[in-house]
Amino acid sequence: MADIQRMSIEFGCEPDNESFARVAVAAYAARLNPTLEEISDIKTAVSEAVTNSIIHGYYGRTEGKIIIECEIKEDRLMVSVTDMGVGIEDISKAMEPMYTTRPELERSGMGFVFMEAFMDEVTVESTAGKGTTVKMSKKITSDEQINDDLSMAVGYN
Amino acid sequence: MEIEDRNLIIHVGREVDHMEAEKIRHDFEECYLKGNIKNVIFDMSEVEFMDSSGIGMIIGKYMKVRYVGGKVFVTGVSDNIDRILKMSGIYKIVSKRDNIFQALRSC
Repeated sequence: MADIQRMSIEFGCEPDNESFARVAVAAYAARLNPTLEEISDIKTAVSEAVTNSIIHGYYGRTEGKIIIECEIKEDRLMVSVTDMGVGIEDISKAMEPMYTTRPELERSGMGFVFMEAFMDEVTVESTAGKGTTVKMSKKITSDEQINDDLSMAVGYN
Repeated sequence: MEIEDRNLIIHVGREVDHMEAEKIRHDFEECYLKGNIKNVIFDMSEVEFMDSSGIGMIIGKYMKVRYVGGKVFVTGVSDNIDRILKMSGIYKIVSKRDNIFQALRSC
């Protein structure tokens, strides 16, 4: 396996693209043989970042692009989610648990908390009026046992 | 969604993201206006994926029914979903039961 393999996808800010985004990243991460728990962590974290882009970054807009870039370095998955939306004025405030600017949508204000809980590292770069990039990484333990079991189950060996 | 006495049972879809939470929020408002609802039971037995939208969805219902002394339950929670619920701290305000029947008995 090469040390660096990249993937990038670009899609519109329609809410039904959220599920596509998380499934695409999970499929990309599959080459690291993640456990089911790790796949769930990745899907949830990606879903949080993409949801933020849609309901905050592109709030009130019908068009806008979201770009996801993924990279694998050894046993580490790196994912970035970028939008060209309104940006975040106060990043540390936005990352506070229970803080939300959309309470009318019953948003919990736990999006960044979840990203931080389910990934190893989360950094946010944002410029008001220009957009936001969330970068996340996670070390994958590579579940060889499960992978062997799966291979046997589908008759690869 | 079904109403039994003053208990609203919400069958949650497989993937609880922003869209599913919005759909449930909309359906809940309709039911809530019609019926005299006190307790809410989230049947999570079909749920395979959840993000923080699910937490907002549950907290939102808790905020509604607590004024009438109502309770909120989650039932049929898988290990994976349980992990997410635990991490969010939501079990401080809602209770988990194995199934809908048990939740109804606790209402």
